[in-house]
Amino acid sequence: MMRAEFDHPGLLYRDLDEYLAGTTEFVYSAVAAGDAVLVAVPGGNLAPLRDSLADVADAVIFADMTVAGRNPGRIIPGVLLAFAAAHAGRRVSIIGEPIWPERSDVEYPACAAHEALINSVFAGRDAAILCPYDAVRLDDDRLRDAWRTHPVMITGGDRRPSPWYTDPLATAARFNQPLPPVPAGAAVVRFASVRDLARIRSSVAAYAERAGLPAARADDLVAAVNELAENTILYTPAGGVVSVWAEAGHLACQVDDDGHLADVLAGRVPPAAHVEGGRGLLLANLLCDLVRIHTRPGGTSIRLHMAG
Amino acid sequence: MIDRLRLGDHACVVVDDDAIRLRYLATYVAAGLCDNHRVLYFGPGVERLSADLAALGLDTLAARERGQLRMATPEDSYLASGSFDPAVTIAGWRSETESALAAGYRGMRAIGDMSWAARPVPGAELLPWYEAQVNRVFAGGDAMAICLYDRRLFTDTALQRICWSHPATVDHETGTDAEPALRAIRTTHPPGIRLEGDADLSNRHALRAVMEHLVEDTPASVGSLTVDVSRLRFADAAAMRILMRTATTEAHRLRVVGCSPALRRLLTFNGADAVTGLTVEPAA
Repeated sequence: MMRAEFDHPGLLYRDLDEYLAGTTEFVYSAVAAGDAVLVAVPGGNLAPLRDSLADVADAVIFADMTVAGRNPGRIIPGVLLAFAAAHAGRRVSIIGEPIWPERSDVEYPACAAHEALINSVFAGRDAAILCPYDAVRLDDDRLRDAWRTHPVMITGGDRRPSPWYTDPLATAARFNQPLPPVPAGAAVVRFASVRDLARIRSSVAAYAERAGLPAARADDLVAAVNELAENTILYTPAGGVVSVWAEAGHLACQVDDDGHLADVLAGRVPPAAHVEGGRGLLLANLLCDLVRIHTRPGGTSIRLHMAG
Repeated sequence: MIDRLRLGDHACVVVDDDAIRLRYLATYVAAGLCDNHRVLYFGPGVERLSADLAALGLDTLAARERGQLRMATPEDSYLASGSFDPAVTIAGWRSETESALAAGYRGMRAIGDMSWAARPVPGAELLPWYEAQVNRVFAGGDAMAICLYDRRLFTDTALQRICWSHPATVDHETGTDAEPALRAIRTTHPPGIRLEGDADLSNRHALRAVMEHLVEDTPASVGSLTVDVSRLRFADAAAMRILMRTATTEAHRLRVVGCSPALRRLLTFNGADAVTGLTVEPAA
């Protein structure tokens, strides 16, 4: 049976029974159809779901979304597209739960934009992605957004089209929101040319070391910041500013410039294999714990989080 | 940085002050004479330069008489055919390198004053390409060069494109004890190339030219090729992509050795794990 279309339902669950009922039904029917199946949900849900699926565990790949999808910007390229590419030629069925109550207000817009952009990236692909939402613990705003980002919703076992679902790029644009201000105490490096890159790298590395970031994480943060600064140098003659500061649980780093990042999918979809550049944001997404972008004509701010 | 340069280096030297230019030249020429290099100066003011260097205490008469130091105007070097032909110029550097070695020198040390390129010379538009491709000569490890660009003669945009074609750039902000940003030197034991320093947007075109032609520039008899990255402190995603392009076409015989965990993650990001036969060895 050909099912060459993309299905992206949101599943609102009120308790573990509803969660397991909705998710296991999805997995059993996908396994029966011969799909490649991935379950990427937060650890607290992963354990009971894995237990419930013990009899088909051989046919399912499991991942903890708080690790694999810690950075919501990484989920499309690093989890969903990567899984589809590894199973080219087969329909893929994925449970992806990217939003949980502990997602911070800084993280959340990148999560909601991710949910909207799935619709663009997977349009026309032979795939299904079921996104469970905790209807009890998530606040109403976040639940309302789920109706905007999913063409179909499942509530109380019933599946119905969402009346609030609209153009995914327009929906993603709703989450292109200003970032909290950079704190006054941040270390700041202004830059304009490639001659400044080494100085940016050494200053971010020094800050990361003082803040106690493990060496591997510091290396990755330096690599990500360098990519963002290179983009600024390539596309905005006026240069930009790198700011670094410590927040609870992670180091934050922001690159500001006066450019406008028009492509909302930048960093979420790999460029064609033959293209040498254009991977800076993608790399930042894969390496960092959060990449938040606020862009508008005349200014772009990209914030990175890197936890120890 | 001028006195840190050694065989294999190719630095873009941006100057906007004649006194500093002369001091750079004096340092660079003196080091070459001391290191038993043949020193070639291609630029304007050949007669005056000897006198200016002498005024700084560097007597070059003996070196000129024994053929260790040679000077020529741009019209007699870069533009000898009436226009700038990059391929001919690159071939010229190769043969100058061979003749310096044949004459018993340790290598060829060049100075190119590129002020002529600010004039409407046919072929001058090929300069960024030339500056990238000529790295293949210096990557052999028997030659080195500084290219003098006068900031007063070139636009910022033109200078930027030219700088990116050099592994290293020296300007008024460069510390005297700074090392060149990147070194890419081909090796014979084992055959391949050794990358040192930082590979980023500032030298991407230089790295690309050397890596793209690594196979072509290595003797045909050679079997496996080793890319030694143990002294590569930093590489951006595009630099690792350049390396991966060579790795993909030569996977059956390419070894990447001395790979730090950070570089390994970048190689993985660029698809190294999907290249069958590619060997990547971690740093010791």
